[in-house]
Amino acid sequence: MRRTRRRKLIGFLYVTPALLFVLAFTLYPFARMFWISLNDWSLITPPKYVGLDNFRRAFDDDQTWTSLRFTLKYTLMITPILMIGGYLVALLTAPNTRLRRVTRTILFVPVVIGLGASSLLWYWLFSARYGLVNRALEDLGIIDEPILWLGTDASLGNWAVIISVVWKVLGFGMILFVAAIQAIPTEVNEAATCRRRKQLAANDAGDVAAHDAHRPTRHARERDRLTARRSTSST
Amino acid sequence: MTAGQPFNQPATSVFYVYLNSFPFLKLGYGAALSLILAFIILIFTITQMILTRRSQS
Repeated sequence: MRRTRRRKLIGFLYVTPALLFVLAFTLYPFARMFWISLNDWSLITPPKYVGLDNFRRAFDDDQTWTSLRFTLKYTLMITPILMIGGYLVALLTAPNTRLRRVTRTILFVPVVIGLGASSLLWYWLFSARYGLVNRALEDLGIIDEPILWLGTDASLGNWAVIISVVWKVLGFGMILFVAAIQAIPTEVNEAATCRRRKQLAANDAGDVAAHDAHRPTRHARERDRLTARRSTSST
Repeated sequence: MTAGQPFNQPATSVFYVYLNSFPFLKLGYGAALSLILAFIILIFTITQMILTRRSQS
């Protein structure tokens, strides 16, 4: 009894640094933020306690709902692009050949560089007068006048942001999909290949119907197995 | 993206929290907004956890 308590205490001592870290940098700031939200505070004047007034104002503020709607719209736009794009790129780069590994590395580099650096980079690329994007489009003859990407046209700016974020995050989704694809056991792939070969052979022979007729359907196999089990359990 | 200018242009929720907290000097209001956002994210998280658990069993 005393020994187990001692062991528990030692275990607790081992996790103490991590606990302190969470306490100091997650729980305390969260509690403090809750307290700040109950105050009217402009950072330079002393805080004034106003209770839940801030929340009431937030729910009445149209801009709050506009920003939430815009967040939802942005998420719905970018998530399919990231998922489908990441999956397609993963299909291309999943097998471990030398060149594909290099390709994966190149696609993953944007994930590693800082968000601030990549934002500035794209800010310059999309610059109306000196940006490389406009320059490339002009040289290709797609546009005559430079486009004001990050100007007053909100949807254009939105697309510019989406392009830059896709460039930055696509590699992450790709790595996850590649890991999942590589985790598929080789037997599954072999079985699929065998089956496909058989099908092709049957096609060549010109009697797909005959081939399929000889192969019991999954449903029928399931039924046979269940009846077999029932007959054994009753005896 | 466009620093919310003119301000009726879309800003994402997180950016709106930042705008209120620091440039507009309404830290309490920003904190309240961020708590509302945290609550919305919490709802999504719980939904996702329930769905994941259901699909596993």
